[in-house]
Amino acid sequence: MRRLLATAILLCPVMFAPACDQPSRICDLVCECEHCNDLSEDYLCERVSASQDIAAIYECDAEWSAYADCVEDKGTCDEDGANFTTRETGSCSNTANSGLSCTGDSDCVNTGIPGARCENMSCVYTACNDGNGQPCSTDSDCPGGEDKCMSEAEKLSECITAASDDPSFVFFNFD
Amino acid sequence: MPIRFSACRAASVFAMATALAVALGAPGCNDADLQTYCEERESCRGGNEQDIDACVVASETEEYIVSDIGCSDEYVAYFDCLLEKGSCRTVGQGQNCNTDEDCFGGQCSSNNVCETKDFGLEGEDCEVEQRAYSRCFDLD
Repeated sequence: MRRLLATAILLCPVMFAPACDQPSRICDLVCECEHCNDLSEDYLCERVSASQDIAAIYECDAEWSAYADCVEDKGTCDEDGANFTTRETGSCSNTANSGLSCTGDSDCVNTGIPGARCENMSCVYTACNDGNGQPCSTDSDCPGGEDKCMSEAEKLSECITAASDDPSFVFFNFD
Repeated sequence: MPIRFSACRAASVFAMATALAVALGAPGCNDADLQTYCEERESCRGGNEQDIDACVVASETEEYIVSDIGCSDEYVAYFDCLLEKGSCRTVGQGQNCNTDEDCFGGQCSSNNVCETKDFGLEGEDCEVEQRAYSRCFDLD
């Protein structure tokens, strides 16, 4: 956090320093991607800032900074889906079998599965490559793979859990 | 006889007006007592001092957003009622269990249901205030 603060002060004019702090930068990244309205942007910025304050209360500043650094460095914007995420990009590239028999594409229309077609006498469809068989038409339809910041998020969670005696405490996430 | 408005009188009037303005506009005049709420809640849940402080920060964030959308009065009314009528009680977590490990931070009751302690309301207590607060958020 101190390293980032020092960097922010060097990069930003002193008069604009408050707008360049890490919670603000993360908020800007998310909202530019997800087209936040004024209220949702305000809410998000407050949540991210509060999560930093709460982490500091539990003396988990380093873990929070590591997670925030990861979100900034590895987060990406799916512009088609207007979704900012730290997950690996999903891929709509699998072919899944519905288990229904057919002789032609028209037999597959009533499966209720978008884009289902008849191949080798079975109704098949294009699905996400995460193995769950979710139908899709573009990569944006797929939830994505591994969270690139999962390790940092887990370390932050473990730090706070270790310091808290409240079994029902729920920590703010950025998303 | 005309009243002379001396510089001294002007200064004292200004000072009184300023003090009155500060008193009326002072923070906390219409804020929920989040410190007391958090102390009650964490005492019930078994939380420590850091948990109280974290609760205050989280609650202040909610209060800020609530104020932003113009629901401060409803928020304060609800919290005032919650502090007046709330109590520490055992609540179900909505999950079946065999051991305490099956429950997220709770305990497995003799009826194999996850339970935990929390500070909150019973029955229809504060229902009016709760409904007003909830409706304030509705965009319909």
